[in-house]
Amino acid sequence: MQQTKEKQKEIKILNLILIALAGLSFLVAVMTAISDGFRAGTDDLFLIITCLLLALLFAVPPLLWAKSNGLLHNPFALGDEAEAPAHEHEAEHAHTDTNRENVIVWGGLLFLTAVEVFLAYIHIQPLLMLIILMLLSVVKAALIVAYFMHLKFERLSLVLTIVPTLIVLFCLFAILFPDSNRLHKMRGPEPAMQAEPAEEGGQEK
Amino acid sequence: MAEVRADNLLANDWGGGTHPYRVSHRKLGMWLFIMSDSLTFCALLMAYSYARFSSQDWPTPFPFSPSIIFSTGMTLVLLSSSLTMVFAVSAAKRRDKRRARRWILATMFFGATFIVLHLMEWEHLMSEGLAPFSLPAEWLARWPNASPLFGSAFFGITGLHMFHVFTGLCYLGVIAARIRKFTADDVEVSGLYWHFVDLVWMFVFPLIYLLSVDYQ
Repeated sequence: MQQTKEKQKEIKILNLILIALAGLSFLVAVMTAISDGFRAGTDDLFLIITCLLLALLFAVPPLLWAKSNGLLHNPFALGDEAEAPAHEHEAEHAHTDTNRENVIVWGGLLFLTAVEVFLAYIHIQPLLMLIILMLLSVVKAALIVAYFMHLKFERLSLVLTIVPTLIVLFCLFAILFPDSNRLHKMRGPEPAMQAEPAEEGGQEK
Repeated sequence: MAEVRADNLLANDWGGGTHPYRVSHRKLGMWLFIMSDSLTFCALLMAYSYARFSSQDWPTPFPFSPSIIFSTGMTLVLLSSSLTMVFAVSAAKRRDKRRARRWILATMFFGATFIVLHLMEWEHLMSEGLAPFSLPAEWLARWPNASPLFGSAFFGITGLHMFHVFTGLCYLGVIAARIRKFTADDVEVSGLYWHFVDLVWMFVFPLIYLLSVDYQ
């Protein structure tokens, strides 16, 4: 790899900045864990997970640069595939029976939908229903993104650009649920209803 | 001075150059759009979830039959449209443009069916009296403390999704009509958009329908 001295210097500065940001995110995660100690429950959990994910994200480009410069002795096992262009992967893959694979993925999606509808039919407890539904939806989304949108057969760099974003998105989605739950419990009793505070807290979701 | 050599350009994914991620620029553009659009839907779903969790009462107006069965049918229609879209993309890659066009037309047919079914459901709910900021009288009798936001959440989220489906239909229509001028890559990019629409429905369907089942 021949690069000008300038470009090498730029890359070095970029890597340093990214490593600093990764360290900062990791530090925030650790400080949150130490100082709050999960007293705030899932709030802290999601914050820590998001910070760790961000730290991982920031650390990836320097790590890949280090790997391609031979600095890492423990490779990410990409091997020679790392240098092949994406469409070569597709060419190999097209020769195999992709249509059958796609129909199988479709069948899997139908099956997961049937499981979700069945759970709605048998009426389980709402919070449990929500958690199971969200997990199943994430699995279905992963299937669609990997196979139908072909992301499984793209370069690792594209996967790393898209997937962590979606994961952080999901964490941000979930991070506000404890807040809404708390808001629910913080309301005083309705004057007209004359309900007791215990009843208010028990009347969830 | 660095020479511009082929291996220089292809050397490293993160090194930039003219082939970032080794995909075409149209495909990368569509992926970036998909990421931003999923943020939009996430924001709407988050607002709906927050309002629902923090309210004392929320209407659960969809009896298993016919409402859930109907919306499950809609889900099956959309999943089938995704499958036909995948067939269209693989036909386009095999340079079989006629078959690709037929599969795209099948996808459009399923998409149009989805819109028709969904509009039927909207019509049913609106005839019951559901409006964006007010609930029907029977619902208020059943759920006296219910927030009036059910209508705006439902129509807002499903309406935005339906708008995406409709836009996807127009997009696919253009691709199908002038498929001779488009490459397999263009068909694949339109497939990405269509699968994104399906992906959003995978989240909207459980959060709005399956969590609002009427068990009485």
